[in-house]
Amino acid sequence: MSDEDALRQLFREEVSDLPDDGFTREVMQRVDRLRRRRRMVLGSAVTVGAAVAVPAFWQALQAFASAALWTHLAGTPAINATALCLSAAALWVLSVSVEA
Amino acid sequence: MTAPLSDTELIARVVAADDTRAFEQLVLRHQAIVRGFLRHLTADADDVAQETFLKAYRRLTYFRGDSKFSTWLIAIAYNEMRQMQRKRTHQNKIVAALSLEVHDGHAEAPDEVHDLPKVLAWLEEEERAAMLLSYAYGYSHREISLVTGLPVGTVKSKLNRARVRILERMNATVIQHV
Repeated sequence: MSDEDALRQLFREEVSDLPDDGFTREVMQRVDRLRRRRRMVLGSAVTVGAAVAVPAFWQALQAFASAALWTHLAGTPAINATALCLSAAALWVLSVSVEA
Repeated sequence: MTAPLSDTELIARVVAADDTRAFEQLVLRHQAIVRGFLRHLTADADDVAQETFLKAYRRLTYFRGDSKFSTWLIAIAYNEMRQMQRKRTHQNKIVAALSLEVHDGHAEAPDEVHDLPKVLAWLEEEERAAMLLSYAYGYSHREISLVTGLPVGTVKSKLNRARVRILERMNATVIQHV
């Protein structure tokens, strides 16, 4: 047997198939924890973002409604319905993000 | 019965739908090669292997398929091991001292000349990794270069040097025992 063959045999014999022995289960438990942590971080970020953005958006909307072209619509059912729809959409985005 | 999904298909499922079952299949499929490789390089093999798969899960979107998935995993494992070793220099000194004691014990038994852990202990870390990848897993020079981050020329010279060192010492041991 050549030196090269001897080396190959030495390395190949030692590297056999390792049984899983619960290794995959442990990795998957850590993956689950990682996913939960990610969801919490994402949910918190969305909540904080919404807490900042929704009032600002609402104020901007009010200001816009009271300005020029929309002045005559301010306080009417149309503008209130728009604001309600936008708020509902923001809440929906928030709830979906937290759930995901 | 349906054929098992390929690595590429499983990866696509994880990336597109965060399919943990698909990732579990990938872990099951590749745990042996990653853990087997690490076991010859570090005492914390399973800890490093866990970190490797977690990192792979987080970075799966960056896998471009330029190499085999197992090569990509081994590269992460090798980097993780080196990072962990840098963090635990002091601990590793103790582990190395302990493993040397074990190897010293083996050295006294003439019939254990062809013992891989002992043979690997003769080599430097990069040589050890290169020899394992080449001889145990059949990796090409280019793949070893991808894993270790060394240029292909350096990989070749490290393999040559390691080969010569092992054969010299093995032959010397055989002559001693004749």
